[in-house]
Amino acid sequence: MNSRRTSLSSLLLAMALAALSATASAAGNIKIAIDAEFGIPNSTSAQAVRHGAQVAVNEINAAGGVLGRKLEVIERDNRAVPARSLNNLRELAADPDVVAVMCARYSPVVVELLPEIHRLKMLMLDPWAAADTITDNNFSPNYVFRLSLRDSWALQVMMRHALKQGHRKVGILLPNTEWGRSSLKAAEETAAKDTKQDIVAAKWYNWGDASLIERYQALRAAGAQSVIFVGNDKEGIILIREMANLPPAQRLPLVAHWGITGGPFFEQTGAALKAVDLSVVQTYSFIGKTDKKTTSMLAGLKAVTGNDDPRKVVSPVGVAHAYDLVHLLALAIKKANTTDRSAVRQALENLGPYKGLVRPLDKPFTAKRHDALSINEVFMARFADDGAIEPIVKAKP
Amino acid sequence: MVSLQNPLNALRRWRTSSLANTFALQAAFIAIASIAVVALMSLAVIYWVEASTQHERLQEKSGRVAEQLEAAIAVVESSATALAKNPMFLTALLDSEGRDSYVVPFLENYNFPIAAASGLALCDINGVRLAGTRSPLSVCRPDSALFKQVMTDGETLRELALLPGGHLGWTVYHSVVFGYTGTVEGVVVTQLDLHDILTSVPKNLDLSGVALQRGDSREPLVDVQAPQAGSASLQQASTVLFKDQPQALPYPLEVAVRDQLLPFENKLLPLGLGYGLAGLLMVLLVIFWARKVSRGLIAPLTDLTDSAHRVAQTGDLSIAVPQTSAGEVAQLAKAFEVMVNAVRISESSLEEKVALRTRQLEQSQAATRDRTEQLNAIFDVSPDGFVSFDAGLRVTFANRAFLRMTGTEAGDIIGLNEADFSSLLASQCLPETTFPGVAALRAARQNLREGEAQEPPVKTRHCLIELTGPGNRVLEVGVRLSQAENVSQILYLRDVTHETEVDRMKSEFLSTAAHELRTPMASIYGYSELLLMSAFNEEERKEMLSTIFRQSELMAAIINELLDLARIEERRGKDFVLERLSLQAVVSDAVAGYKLPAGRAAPVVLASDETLLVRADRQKLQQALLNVISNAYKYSPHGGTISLSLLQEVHHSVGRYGIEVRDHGIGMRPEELARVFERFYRADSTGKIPGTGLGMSIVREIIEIHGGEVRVASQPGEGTTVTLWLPAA
Repeated sequence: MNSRRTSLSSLLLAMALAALSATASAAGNIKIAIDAEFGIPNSTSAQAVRHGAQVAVNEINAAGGVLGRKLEVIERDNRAVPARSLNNLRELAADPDVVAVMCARYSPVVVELLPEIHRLKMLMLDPWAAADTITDNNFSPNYVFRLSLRDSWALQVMMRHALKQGHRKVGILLPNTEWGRSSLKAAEETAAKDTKQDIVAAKWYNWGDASLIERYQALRAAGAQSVIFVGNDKEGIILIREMANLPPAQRLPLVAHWGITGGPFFEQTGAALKAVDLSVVQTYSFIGKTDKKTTSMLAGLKAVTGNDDPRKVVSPVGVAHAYDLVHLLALAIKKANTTDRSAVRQALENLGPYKGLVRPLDKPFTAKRHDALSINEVFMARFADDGAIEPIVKAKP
Repeated sequence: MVSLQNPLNALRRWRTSSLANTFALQAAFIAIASIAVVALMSLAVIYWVEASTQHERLQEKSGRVAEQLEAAIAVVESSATALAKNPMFLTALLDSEGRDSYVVPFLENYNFPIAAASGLALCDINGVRLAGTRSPLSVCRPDSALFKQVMTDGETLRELALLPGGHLGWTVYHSVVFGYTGTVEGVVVTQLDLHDILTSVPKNLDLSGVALQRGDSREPLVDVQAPQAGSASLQQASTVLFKDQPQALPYPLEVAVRDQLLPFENKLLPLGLGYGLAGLLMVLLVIFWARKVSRGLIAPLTDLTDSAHRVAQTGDLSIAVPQTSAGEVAQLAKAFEVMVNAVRISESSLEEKVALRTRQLEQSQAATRDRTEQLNAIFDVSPDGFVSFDAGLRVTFANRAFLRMTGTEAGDIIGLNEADFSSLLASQCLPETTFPGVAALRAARQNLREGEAQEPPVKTRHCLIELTGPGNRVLEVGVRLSQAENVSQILYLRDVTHETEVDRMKSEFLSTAAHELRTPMASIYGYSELLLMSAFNEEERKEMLSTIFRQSELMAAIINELLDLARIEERRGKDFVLERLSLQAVVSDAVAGYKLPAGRAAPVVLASDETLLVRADRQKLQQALLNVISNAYKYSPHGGTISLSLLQEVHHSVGRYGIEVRDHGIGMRPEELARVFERFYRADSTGKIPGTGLGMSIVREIIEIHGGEVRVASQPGEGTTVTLWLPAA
């Protein structure tokens, strides 16, 4: 009875939305939905994506919009829970004004969504989540387009980084999720084909675990010279604090995946961070960019966040990637000359050169390649004393 | 049954052989009954105590089952609670496909205290199962109201759910709280198959069955029978589940355990043996004691019995009756003595009575015998025939007269039924006078008796039949109905042949007499008419008148003789004046009185010297002799000597005298001789010899009335001799 009433009300809602969109389609905004972990306290990843997207939207709207219509960014909170994201996706797909959905940091959410994305033929733009399977999803046509890191690239760079420091034996600490599984697979491939390192041990942890030090110590005991850490800010904070409490001799260099940059990692690790040799993988940094594109972007960002200091951009990869993706989407809509999702998808695969923020893209996507970036954009960085994430090496050596 | 009969009979004989045995047996029966009552009562008490103890144990077991069940549920719940908070589950909730690859090994290594058939499932907010145990019960039950409620307020909730296969499941919903946000992002659904949990219980506690039922309505929810549990009636005990936390249940629940309570199991045999042996010993003691005591008591009775036996065997009533001191036996001895005396007195009076009765019986038998003899004689000598029929209308007796009349043998008719007898008798009758049947006679008789028939046919009431046999007997047949016990009716037959013949002769005589009178009458009538009608000369007239005269004379003579004959027959000698007469005198008087016909010589009398005296009526004897003499002259028309002689002889040792009259006339042929005494018969067929034809009839009547006899001998042409015999006086 209850479920019938629910389904009846949702049907009524759907009818109302359809009627609304029918009237609005002529003059209504083209919507880009961000379905992300807005509700997780202290998380910054979703907000970063939102900011980047908003800057791009503002720029596009200022230039007259797309197809004579304004772009609009809407938000949905999934709290990193796949089931909530699924519900959000279904709701958004029912709105014809929504051209695409943009995710944020959590790979498992996107991986879980893949079948439904393709069933609903909803465009998914990925500015952050790094699991390889997100784009290598075997769906055809593929509705997922990423302008971000891939775990395989990240692990390769991280392993190389350890190797550069002479660490042939590495331990790896992974979340017990698809992200972790994807990462281990990439690490093993790198170790086997590229760096010839020895992964002495892989330890799994669960989200919500109160302590990681036992696992860390197990890696150390296994002979690891450095630890490859795949995780988010919460686990990163725990690990850093615990490592800081260890005698200095027991603190191994920590090569971190970029999940830790999605929250108040720097603020909450505080002094402990200085006690640990931590490097983190990145794809973009505002720091040291003087080109016109970056300058105008930061100006636009100031309008949105009130900050245009490149050192103080929070979760910079999310901001940059989202900014570029929205511009690519606008180009595709223009090219398709419609907001129809499959037409836009088609257009995305056939875009021409785009001078992006992260890097200039000659052909951003093809039918076979849905990753706009490459391993060449990946680099290692460190937290500076002011919390800025500074590249260790230059982005373009 | 047969094998039981002999000992029973032996026991009965033993019991009846002595009063002591009877007492002993009765006492034994009382002892057995008492022992049985005591045994039954104590067994009942033992049974009740044992049954209540066992029931208490069963109640305890139900408490233990309830505890086990509660403990099992509690352990599973606490485990599930811990799991719901485990980071592994949170991770799995936030993870994507492939969670089972680590959740299942984790759960399998977790030592989850749950039966294999139960299940645990991690479910997302949409009720989709993300991971869980490898069990069909690892499901989310998203349609349950409790699932949605857990999603809303995060409390742990429980319900009883029907599982596939009809089992009942204990379902617990635990919320999974996302530590980052503090929000409920999933539900752990744990389902316990209560049937499985209960199934292990009977093995532990040795029970026949365990059930889970609603506390309010006793409606069974889960019922587990131990495989070895039979269908025998089971006792049940129940315990309320979660007494302390009723809110944990959707409705009150009870654990009911069942078991076959056998309070006497393994006890009945020793108990029965104990009771049996003690009882047997007691019965034997009672028999022994009772026999001993009662023997002492009945010793005087035995003495009394011996006395009675002696009286019975010897009949000696003067025996001394044994005396005892006091009590009922003494009274019995006294009464026995009184009885012996009474018997003694009674015996003598009885003998007198018997003698009297015997005499009366003999008299009665003699009277009966006499009566029977009389009746037999009467029946034997009776000229009438008698046939008697029994109640079944069968012939039981026929007297000699009947057998003689019908010419049958007794064996032919005794036993015949009425109809056969009637047809046998009818077959012997002439067709015109046949026998109508006994039934017809009886019917006529009954009609007559009841007065129903207005005109009963006379011939059926008393009918006449004529037999075809020799003599053509004519019988008058009648029936007499009887009310006697063995005789229903008596048929009687009277021989009326003679009466019939007399009647016939009378008719014939009248006719002949009239005929004889008519002849002279016609002459007289004819001549007198001639004389009146015509004139004749004197001579002719004289001739005619003399004829008339002669004929008148004849008529007068006929009438006189007829009157004589009638008078003689009617009176039968009563007017005879009998006197002693000398036959010589009678003959001489007759010869002297006889007027000789013209031209005939007087008869020659051959007198005898001896005086022959007879007792006779002088006048009648004269008349008879004159008739004979007259005939001798008339039938010897051509003359010849008529001689009279006196004869004497001894006939049948009686002396008698005769007067013989002999002529030498025309004589008679034998057929004429045979009819000589017939009235109006005349040997002269020419009519020349005058006479009435009645003379010899009168002669014979007179002589026979005197007790004599008339003998006639004759030869045609030679003459006739008539002898009148009279008994000597």
